[in-house]
Amino acid sequence: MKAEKFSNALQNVDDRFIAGAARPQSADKTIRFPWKRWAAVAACLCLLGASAFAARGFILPAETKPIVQTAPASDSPDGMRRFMNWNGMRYEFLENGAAYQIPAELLGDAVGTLTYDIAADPEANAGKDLSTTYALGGTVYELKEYDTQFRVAVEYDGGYCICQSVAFTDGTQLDPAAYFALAGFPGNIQSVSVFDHGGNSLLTQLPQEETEQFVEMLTQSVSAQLSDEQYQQIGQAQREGRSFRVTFDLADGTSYGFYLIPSLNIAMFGDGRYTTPAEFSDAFGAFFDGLEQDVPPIY
Amino acid sequence: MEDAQIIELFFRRSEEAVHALAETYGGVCRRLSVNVLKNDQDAEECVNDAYLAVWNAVPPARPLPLLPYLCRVVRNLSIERYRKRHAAKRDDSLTRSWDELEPFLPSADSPEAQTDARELTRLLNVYLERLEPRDQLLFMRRYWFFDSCTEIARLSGLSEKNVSVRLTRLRKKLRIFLEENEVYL
Repeated sequence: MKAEKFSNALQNVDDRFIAGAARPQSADKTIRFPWKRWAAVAACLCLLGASAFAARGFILPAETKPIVQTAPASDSPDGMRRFMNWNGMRYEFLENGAAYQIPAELLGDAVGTLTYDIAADPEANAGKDLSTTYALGGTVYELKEYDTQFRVAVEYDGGYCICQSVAFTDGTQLDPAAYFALAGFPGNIQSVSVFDHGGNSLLTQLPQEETEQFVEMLTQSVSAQLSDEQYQQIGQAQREGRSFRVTFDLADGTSYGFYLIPSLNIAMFGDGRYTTPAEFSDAFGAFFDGLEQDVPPIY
Repeated sequence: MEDAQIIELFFRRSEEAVHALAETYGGVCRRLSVNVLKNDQDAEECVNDAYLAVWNAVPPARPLPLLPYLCRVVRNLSIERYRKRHAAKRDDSLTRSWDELEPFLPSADSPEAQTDARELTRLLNVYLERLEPRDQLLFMRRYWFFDSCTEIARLSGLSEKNVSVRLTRLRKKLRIFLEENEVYL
């Protein structure tokens, strides 16, 4: 059998591939952000953030400082996504666990400590409350400006990460209408930015006056039951530059990102896949049609 | 305990060596063996046999890092036991993962045309190197560790459907890669 011969050859691949998959780097290893290197950048970000907010007339009280990313996330060495489970929901670490400076007045009560390491024992720990693939030992805090079913903060290694819900731990997808409401959309959206699929190149921004309609129509998206063929179409759309990373740029300086494939009427909020309403294509199809992006290299 | 310290215990022929090995890596080994054998008792026996194999090999061998070495021993022993006990086709993780791969592996016209194992291993290193870390994880967990898609989904935080679709893409990439490198099995 060819697969057995293949399996025998796979047996002897480099140790690093085996080790990397066997036991992903434990979340309790301290990942040191290069604070000294990023301190100057952080100072600039604070200044930029403050001036940008002054220009926009943001809705936070004037004395409240914005949330600023102070350091990017280190790469997850094993490729494992950084997420944690709390109170029946799965939360993704925003920007893969980047550190944020969160003003004290935005932090609420501590609600628990990330206790169970999913990477160390997935079978035992993946379903537990306060289980995580990152920031083990970190303290989970409410964020006063957000419903906990949208976002919480995790204090870890001297800084804060923001965790954003992506699904329920029982596998149920988020309901866009309910989710957008508890996230405060569209009221706290300053602008809507459209990037290429990789999120690297800003292609355009939605005219501000269309934000409310854009968001309202997306709340009418329904959970999609995709066939294999449709998944392949999604892959093809991504390769052909028809998939976009869209961000709601929020008043607190952070953003909420999701994927849109207007040509397929598909939206991806959190871990879910949704079919957008026909009215969305009618209203915004042409807006996306004219956007060109560099297609990613094909392996 | 660090690998070097465990190896040192083996070199000193200390009984603590196997205990340290089990404590540090026992969970990973058991999970791998259970994935193959689908039987806790068989898996436990296999893992214990693996510890004995390491005891007999070290010294003079000094396998560092220790985990990949140990996993290979467990995998070998588990597949060997599986072959002996399951001559008939079974519906389990191991046969399912092999059945998934089979159609994507180019066939040789004759035994002489088959690529030898060492060359295939070399090329698989190249293939894996080119994958993103997440795809490396998915591929290795499925075809090296024989995890089910459900288990991989729980481990990675991806949905089961997403894992399945990604693995399909990886198999297609693998086929293209093997054909380009004229690999035949």
